Amino acid sequence: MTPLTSNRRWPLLVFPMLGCLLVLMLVLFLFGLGDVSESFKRFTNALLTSFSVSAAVLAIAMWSYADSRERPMAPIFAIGLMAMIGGILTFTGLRFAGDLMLEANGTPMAQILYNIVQLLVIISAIAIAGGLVLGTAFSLITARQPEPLFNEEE
Amino acid sequence: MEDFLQAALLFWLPLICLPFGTVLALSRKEGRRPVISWSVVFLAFIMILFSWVTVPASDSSAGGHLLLSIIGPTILMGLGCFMIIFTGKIPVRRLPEPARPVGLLSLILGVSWLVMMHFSSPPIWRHQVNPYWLVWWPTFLLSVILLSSFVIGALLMVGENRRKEASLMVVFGLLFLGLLLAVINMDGTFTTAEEMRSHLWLVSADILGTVIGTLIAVVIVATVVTKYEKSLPEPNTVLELTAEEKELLLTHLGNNLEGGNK
Repeated sequence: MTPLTSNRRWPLLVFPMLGCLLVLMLVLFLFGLGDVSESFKRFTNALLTSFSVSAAVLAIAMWSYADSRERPMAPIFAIGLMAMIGGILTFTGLRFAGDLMLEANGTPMAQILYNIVQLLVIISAIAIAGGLVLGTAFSLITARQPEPLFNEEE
Repeated sequence: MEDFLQAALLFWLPLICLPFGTVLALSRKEGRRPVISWSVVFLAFIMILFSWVTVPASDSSAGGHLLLSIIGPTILMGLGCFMIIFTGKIPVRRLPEPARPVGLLSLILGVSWLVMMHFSSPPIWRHQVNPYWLVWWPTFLLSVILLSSFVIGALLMVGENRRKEASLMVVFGLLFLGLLLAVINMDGTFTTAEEMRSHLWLVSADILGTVIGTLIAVVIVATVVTKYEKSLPEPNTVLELTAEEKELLLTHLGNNLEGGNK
């Protein structure tokens, strides 16, 4: 077996990125770009929202970390602060750089709430897709008799 | 104001409880905290699913409506995978053999249900296609293709003699690629191919933004934790093992490494 650290196997990590790029190039080649005027707005909104929400969730996760470290408050405050900065950045960006707001949403608050629900929808899609892919992969793996770990000595 | 309060209590509060309850439940194994946290998460999830009934005036309840619409195919796919995996060659107790074709059927039915939803009966909310369905469906298809390539890469990189499984995963990924191409090339009853093409590019931007945003947050947390760990004083050095302790250690190693013959 080629060791995991072998140089021959590492290029396989590029495989997913290459796969994604090929899919998008195929779509672009076959059908063109279409109406993508809101792409940048969607990217920025998704980035700011996912950052703020992830930071907030991780701040809560820091409680369990604190349990094993004599309850230091500094890391929790630091992550909480990051989440707050993300939230403020999102609100300020939407309020003063109005170009980031999508047409259907009239106010920054409406946009933020829309972004959060959209994040939930995207996460659910990725999670269900992940479950399906992993489930299929394990179905294929368990279909074959596993090879013995150690060969019986003669 | 009343609508706002209703939405806050019946949609946003449960939505906040969902990630925070999960983190709290996972953070401790003993005591009553996990039981209470999982119960809160379950209740919050049910409240979100039915938010389109409890707070129909809120635009956000479209998210709950979408989740309720996809729960059927999701359960079918999950059940299908479970049955196929646990009828396979696994070291623990297997399910009876007939469960395997039933699982496969369940998996196919789940995917077909989603395909049928796209082409003939998408989730309808306020007399039009649920706006979040147009985000969820292309995200799901793109994610399956992307994650399949991750799994193929992992099977080839880490797995030993897993080329056959990797080839089958390529077929699986290609099936979904074909489905994606069909979705952006054929009109459905309520959605046009052109509309889906635009949504495909928009969700690509969404996925990229979400992944980058999450990665930045994770990197910041990792940096904070590393900085804190580095600031901790060095642990005290322990005394050298006594002859008795060394003997005990050797006995344990001998019992575990040499088949328990010693």
